[in-house]
This record gives sequence, C-alpha cells and structure tokens, in this order.
Amino acid sequence: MSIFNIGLSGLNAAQVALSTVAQNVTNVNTPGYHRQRVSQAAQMPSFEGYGFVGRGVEMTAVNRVYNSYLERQLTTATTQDSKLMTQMSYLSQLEDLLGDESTSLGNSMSDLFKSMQALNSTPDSIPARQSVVNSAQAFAGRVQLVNGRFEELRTGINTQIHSSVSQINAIGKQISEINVQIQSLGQGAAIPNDLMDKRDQLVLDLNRLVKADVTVQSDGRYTVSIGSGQALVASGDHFPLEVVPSLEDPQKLEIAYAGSNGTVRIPDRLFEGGSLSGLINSKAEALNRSQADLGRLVIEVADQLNRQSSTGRDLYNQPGGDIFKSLNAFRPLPVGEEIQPPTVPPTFQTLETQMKSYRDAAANFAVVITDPSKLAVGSSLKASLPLDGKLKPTISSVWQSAQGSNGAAIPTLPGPIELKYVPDAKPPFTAAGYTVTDAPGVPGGYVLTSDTDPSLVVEFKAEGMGEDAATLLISNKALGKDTNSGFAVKPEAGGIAAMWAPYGDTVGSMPAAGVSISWDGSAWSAPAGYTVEAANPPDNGYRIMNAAGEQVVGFAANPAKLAAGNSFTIGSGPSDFTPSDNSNMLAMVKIQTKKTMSSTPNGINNFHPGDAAGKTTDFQGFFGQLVSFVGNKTNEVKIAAQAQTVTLKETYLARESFSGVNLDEEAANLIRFQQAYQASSKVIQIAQQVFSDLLQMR
Amino acid sequence: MRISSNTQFIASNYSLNSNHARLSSLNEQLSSLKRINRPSDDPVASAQLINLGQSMSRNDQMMINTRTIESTLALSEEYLFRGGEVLQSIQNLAIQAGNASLTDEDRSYLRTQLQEQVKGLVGIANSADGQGKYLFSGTKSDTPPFELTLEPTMSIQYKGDWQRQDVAASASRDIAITEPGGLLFGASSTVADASKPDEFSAGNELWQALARFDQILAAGPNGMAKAGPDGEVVMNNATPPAAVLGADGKPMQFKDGLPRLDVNGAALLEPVLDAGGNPVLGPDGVTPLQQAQTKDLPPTYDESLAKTIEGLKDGQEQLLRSHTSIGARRAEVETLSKTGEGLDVQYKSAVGQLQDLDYVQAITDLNMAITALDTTQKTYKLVSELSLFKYI
Repeated sequence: MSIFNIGLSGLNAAQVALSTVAQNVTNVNTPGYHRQRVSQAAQMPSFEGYGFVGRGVEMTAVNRVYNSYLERQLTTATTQDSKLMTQMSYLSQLEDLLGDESTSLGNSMSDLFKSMQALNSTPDSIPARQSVVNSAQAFAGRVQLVNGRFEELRTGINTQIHSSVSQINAIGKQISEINVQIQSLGQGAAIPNDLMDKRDQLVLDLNRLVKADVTVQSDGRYTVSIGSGQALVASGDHFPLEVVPSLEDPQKLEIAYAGSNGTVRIPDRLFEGGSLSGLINSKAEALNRSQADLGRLVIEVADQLNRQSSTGRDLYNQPGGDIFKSLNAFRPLPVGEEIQPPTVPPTFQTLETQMKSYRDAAANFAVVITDPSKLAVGSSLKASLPLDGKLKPTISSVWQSAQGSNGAAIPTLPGPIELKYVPDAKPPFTAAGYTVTDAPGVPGGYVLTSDTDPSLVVEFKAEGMGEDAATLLISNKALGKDTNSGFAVKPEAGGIAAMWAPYGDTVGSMPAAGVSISWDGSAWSAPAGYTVEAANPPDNGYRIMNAAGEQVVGFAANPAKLAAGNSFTIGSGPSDFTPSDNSNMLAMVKIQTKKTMSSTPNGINNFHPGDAAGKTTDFQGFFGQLVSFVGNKTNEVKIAAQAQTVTLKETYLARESFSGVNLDEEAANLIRFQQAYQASSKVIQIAQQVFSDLLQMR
Repeated sequence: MRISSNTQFIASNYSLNSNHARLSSLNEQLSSLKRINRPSDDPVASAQLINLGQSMSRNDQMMINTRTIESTLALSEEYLFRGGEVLQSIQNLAIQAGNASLTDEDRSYLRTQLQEQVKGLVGIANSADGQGKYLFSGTKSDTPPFELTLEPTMSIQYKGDWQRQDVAASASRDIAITEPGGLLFGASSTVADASKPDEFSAGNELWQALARFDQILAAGPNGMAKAGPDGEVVMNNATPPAAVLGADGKPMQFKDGLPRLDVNGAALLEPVLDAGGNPVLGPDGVTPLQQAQTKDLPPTYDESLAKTIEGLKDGQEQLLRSHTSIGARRAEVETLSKTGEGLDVQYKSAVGQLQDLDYVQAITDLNMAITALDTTQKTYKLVSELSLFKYI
C-alpha cells in the first residue's frame, strides 16, 4: 500500500517539477520573469517498531529565484539610462540644429556683414543696398527657423511630459490594484510568484519613466514614492500626478501631486531619474539656455545695428531708421532683480518671466527696412575746411559712433564742434567740451568724446596736417537731397567762413530770397522779422533766428576778413548730400568684431549676466559659445549614456545570470524529471505487479 | 558563472549595437571627410570653426574689396596721368608767351589755345567712373567737381567736398579709393587779395596760375605795368610835363627800372617823408620831393608770367604728389591682397587641422569595425544554434 503512495508522491513531485520546467521554458522571454524552482522534501517517515519507513516525497514550495539587491541595482541603472537616453535624443536634435552648416546662424550672420562690407565699395548702388536688405532678411529668416525648431522641441517635450505622466498614473494604478489583490489573499498567505514578477516589472517600467522608491510593507504590499517622498501608491490607494500650467508662465508646465492633503506642486529639481527627469532636464539645461541665448543675441544685434543706423543718413539724406525691429522692450533683468518701475508689492524677475522675454524677443526678430535707399550708409556729419580757407589740415571722413547698448539713448550733436588744430601737439586737436584721443589702430584717426553723460562720440580722420594752427568745424549736414537744401553765402570768400544746419528742435525754414545781414563793426543787423544772436561754440559763431524764435541757419564769421559795413546774403545753397559717403556703414561693419556680448552665466536658474558684466565677445563668438555649450552638454550626456548602457548591460546580465531561464538547463531538467516520473511510474507498476502476484497465489 | 539563455542575447545585442554605432560614425566621417560632424564631436573645435568661418568670410570680402580698390585707383591714376600731360602742354604755352617778339594778336591765339587746354584739363578733373559717379568730387559723387567759367575772366571753383570714400582692404586697414579734387587740383582760382594777383595760395596754385595766365595774355605787356626806361629823366603828368625832383632835390632819373610805369605810362612815385612823417618839400617850398615806389608794385607782364610758370610748376608738383600717393596706395593694396590670400590659406589650413579626417586612421578603423561586426554576427549565429532541445 505504501509503495503505491510513495510512487504516487514521486509521480506528483515529478509532475509538479515538470510543469515548473514547462513554465520556465515558456516564459523564457517574458520580461521580468524569474525562473522558478520546486522545493521538495522527504515525507515524515512512519514508525514501524523496527525503525522508520519512508513515506515518499512532498512538495514544500515553488519559489522564484530572486535577489533584491540585484533587482534594486537594475532599477537604478534603468532609471538613469532612461533619463540619459531621453536627454540624448533632445540634445542631438538641438546640436544638429545649431551645428549644421546649412542651417547655421553663424554663416548667415557672416553673410549679412559681408554684404554690408561689399556695399562700402559702391555706397549708392541700389543692387548692393538691396543685397544688404536681402541678407538681413535671410538672417532674420534663419533666426525664425531656429527659434521655430526650438519651439517645436519645447512642444514635443511638453507633449511627452503629458504622456509620461499619464503612463506613470496608469502604472501606479496597476500597482495599487495588485496591492489590493495581495491584501485579499489574507495575512501570511503566500503571494503568487507570477503576480510578484508582474508587480516588479511594473516598478521597473515606472522607473523607466521616473525614479521611484519602493518600501515593502510587512504584509508584502508595496508603497511607491517619487520625488522627495510623495507616495504614488500607498497600500491600495493610488495618488495620481497631474500636469498643471505654472503660475508664473502658463506656457510652462509643472507636475503636481494630488496627495491626501490636496494638490501639491513638485519642484522640477526633485525628479532625479527616468525619462520624465530627462525631459525636464533637457528643457531646463539645454533648450532654455539655447533659446535664451538666441533671444539675447538678436536683441543685441538689432540694438547695435539700429543704433549705428540712427546716427547715419540714407540715400534721401534723411536720418537713418531701424534696420531690425527694436527688441529692447523685451530685455529682461537678471533673475531676482526688481522690475522697474517699482510696484507695490515689488515684482522680481523670475526665470519664467525671463525665459518668456527671450522667447518673445526671438519670435519677434524681423527686418523692418524695406526700401534699400533707406539704409543709413552715409554720415550725418560734415567737416568744413579750416575757417581761413586753407587746405590744411583736411578731415577726410567724420561720423558719429553710436556708443552703449541696452537701448540707452544716443545723444545728438548739440551744436557745431569747433576743432582746433595745434601743430606738434599730441593728439594735435583740441575741442572745448570734448576729449580728443587717437583712434587705436587707425593712422590719422581721432575720437572726440563729449564731457556730457551719456557721451557723444564722434570719430574722424584727418590728414595733411601742415604747420599752421587752424580751426575746423564739424557740424550736421542739412537734411534733404534737393539741389538747394544746403546753405550758401553771397558774396563768397568774405567774412563768413562756414554755415551749418540748425541744431535742436526749433528749426525754421529759409526764405527763398535768403536773409541779408550786415556787420557794423560790433554787431550784426538783420532785416525785419529776423535777429542774429551769438552761438558759442564756435568762437565768432552766430545764428539767424526768425520771428517765431526758430533757428534758420548758423554761421561762423571770420574776423580777419570781416570789416564794418560788409553785408552778406545767406540763402539756400547746394545740398549737403554725399552719395559716396560710406563712413556710417564702415562704422556699422566694425560692429561685427566689436565686443558687444557678455557670456551667459552657467547654471539653469538665470540666463542674463547683468548689464555690469564685461563684454567679452562679439556676436559670432557668442554664437560659438552657445554651440560649444550644446556640444559639450551633448558630449557629456553621450559619454554618460554610453557608460550607463554598459552599467545597465552588466546589471541586467547579473540579474539574468541569477534569475534568468537557461533553456539547456531546463531541457536537462525536463529529462531528469521525466526520468523521475518514469521511475515513480515504475514503482507503481512494480507495486501493482507485487499486488497481482499476491492475488494469483491461489 | 551561470549563464541564462537571455545572457547570450543581451550580450550579443549590445555588441552588435555598439559595433553598428561605431561603423555608422566612421561611415559618416568617411562620407563627409570630416572629423567633426556635429558640435559634440569636439565642442571646443566647433566653436573655433564658427569663429574661423567669420574670419574667412571677412577675408573673402576683403580680397574682393582689394580688387575694387585697385581698379578704382587705377582709373584715378590714369586720369591724373592724362591731366599731367595737358598741364605739360600748358606749361609750353607759358614758355611761348614769354617770347618778346609776340604781338597782341599772337597772344590772343595763345589765349584761345590756353582756354581750350584748360577746358580739357577741367574735363579730365570732372571725369566719371563707369557708373557715372564723379571721381574727384570727394563723397559728393553726384556733383561735377569743378565749375569753369571763361568770361569775363577765367574762374574755376571746386564744388565737391573734402571727404573720401574709404573701403576696408584688411581687418585693420581702410583705404581711401577716391581723392577730393580740391586736394588734387586746388579749390579755387580766386586769389586771396585781389590787389596782389600773383600771390597764389598754397594748394590752389594750379587754378590761380591758369586764371592769371589767362588775364595776362588778355592784357599783354602793354596792358600792364612796365619798368621805367633807364637813364631817362622822370617826368610828371602835368601839362607840359616837368621833371620830378628826387630826394636829393635834383631831377630824378630812371634807374634799374624804377620808378615803374603803370598801365597808363605814369611813373609810380611816393613822397619823401622826414622823421616826423611829414613830406619833405622841394626848393620851391610847395612841391614835395618824390622817390620811386618800391613796395606793392603792380607786376609787369614778365613778372606775372614768371609767377604763372612757377605756379604751374607748383600745381604740377601737387598733382604728381597725389599721383604718387595713389600709386603708393595701389602698392599697399597689392600687398594687402597678397596678405589676404596668405591668410586665406592659413585659415583653410587651420580649418583643415581642426576638422579634417585622418583618412588612413579612419579606413583602418573602418576595417576593424567591419571585422568586429562580422565576427560578432557569426559568433551570435553559431552560439544561438546550440540548444539541447535539438537533441531530445
């Protein structure tokens, strides 16, 4: 009888072992599956007086081969790998965008300055001017293209954040459901292996999305928490995450947690691993910085070129206008500074509002000049010959140099500059109210800087210095290119050495017949309706005012030739229009290599270095810094990702080697347990034979 | 170590992936022939390449500029050369005009010739380039630089400005491609003091000498002051003429051409003054004693002609100086253009060093990567075929 039982127990044991092997073989490719092992033991023997007789085999357990240390390693490696891979995919898109030669902003910026340089050889050529307008439009188009791609990446990241959060919620819900199932099994009951595998796989999947920590409760249920300990799953409850618009910038997304105490926003920095953190980091570290730099670059390009343009004259001999749309209204402050004008309570610049300004700036970058004739190539200033009519020295070009940045006002020439040539002095010029310095690296070049604040800077080149002291005048050109838009005096070569266009706001018109004035030896007399008043500088400078108190013209007398009784008629004369004057465009081209940009601060909390920061590089160099930053970041992530892939592979292999199914091993077990089954069958067969032999003994 | 069935797969998968990645990166390098295909390949070099790109683009434009500068300067030089030739023939006219045997009629022919030559010279000074821009009017290139009127007197006035058009020929050097005509030829033919027609002002000698030449040809020696006939007694213009008493109280004689006779043949005299500044009276106690005027004498034809010839020479020197200065600029531009070409080569070699691929290395690497991939694939195939299940 017991032989039957013993054989049967062996048969059962072999069958269970065979089904476990079958389970292992069929689940060889199931993710998260741990191979299972049957534990068996000899049954309690029965005492038969002479000793103990075995009662066969019994099944004690079916266990999965599981090492929590290896599993934790795998989870950590997976969450890091997933973060790096996500970052990598966005960074490589970003670097392709910035680094590709065909879309490179750098080339299109060089082309703009190149066409401006080409215009300098033919300042009044409409095709050459059109080419500058076209390259400016091409540059603006390229900026829009790049910024458009930035916005697409941003939208892509936001969409992915949304879908990641809903996946996280779905996984959280499934884990909480498994928790409920486990609870229903009752305290102390064994938990099905495959249910545990399923739950562990869910935790691994969750870690691919966001780093999540697991605490095992005493009853075997999991508590899953993310961030700084926000429970996603606790017992049978699941607390879903939400994507909510930021309070400061509705376009920025934040992740909130609907915990038991209401909705709480989780700061971005608390997400450490998983693709969600990869997404958040790509946006915060690389995309934000790139877009902020682009915004800052175009604000400065527009400001610098517009500033120099405003000091020049176009082909209609009118003051230059903006080339690019002015973006100064978008200039943000460094994060943390108080926004002016002050409000109650004070408002401070935040990263969100700063980013919004930069993004808006880049999106608004456009060319406003359409008429190529309106490019301000010429200078608005002119220089007279020495007042005594000699030819030495001669000022061969003169222009105003637009200083400063940040949209600060550019002062205009308040009146003629009386430039005194002092032979053999260094520098050989002086002017009251101005400091004269040598222009660095320009032979014969000088810089006049006014003592006012903000200072007015006029540059000029002089030559043919000569041995005699002389006085020259630098003054505004009269507006307009009509033949008679300038001034002339009759008789010429007399006591009036120079004339200039009125300065300031009160400009009166010149009557067709001109204004006749005469000198009585100490004062000027003017016809009814006009007065002559002294205007200093220059020495012996005067201006003719009309009855309305408006300036009609300014002039300088030459005392050496002026005698009592002299009279002159000052009227309209040849225009001051100079089509071949390119000095303003020459100054504009120099902006290309001028240090106009300060480097962006490192970090992710502020992209504005502050106005006090030193200007260390030019536009192209700044763009190079951005490309280098994105390249470095990509390189860093690439190397980390490669290392992480190896780590992941190794931890995966370690887990596989411990918990994975080996088909050869299972095949061997199959044979082994088949043989055990056959042997047990044989035992039963033998028992049956013994029994029938007994029955046949009649 | 225990091996699971998936171990094979994972390990091979990783090797296949990394071999593929290596192969694709080498493939990209070999097809673009560049070491750096994206900024992350070498972030520092990428930034340098962007800066080099700007320098190369600027240098390209500079080389184009040097050609423009060269051709514009060559044009100016050509016109100045022709102006010099015209001036040479005007100088010949001036030498002819000094011939004492010329009649007034001869001089009027000379004057006609002079006016034609001046028209030619001003025409050259008013030359325009291929685009109709005046070469010598400073930056006022839409205005003819010189205005010439012949009657009643010759007058030439500069109408341009004194500024130059600069074009960048290198990163640090702007070169003027135009020269204001006022500096080349002079600003005005009007002399500063009409009572001293032979005092030409510096820089304006050419036009003033030409205008003066025209004046003296019109006037002729007889229309101008003359030297007094030596040895003869100086007579006053009373009727009948009486001898003029000199400082010594005796009748004065012409000596060394003094006193000079004015256009009407009257002697240019001035009273002798005593220490108190009062005229010294002659023996009759009424007529002041006279002496020859020595200061501010009206010039004679020959004197004026000599000044004119001198003025023309000064003008030609001025033209020659400008000519030389333009030539020097052309030479400088040529040097800068060569420097630009040299820089271009340097920039290109710098770019090459930064981004060019080491072909030999890359091809060797490619072969190794192909071998590695091939081996991995074969190994994977062989190993995956091994299974105990085949035998049961």
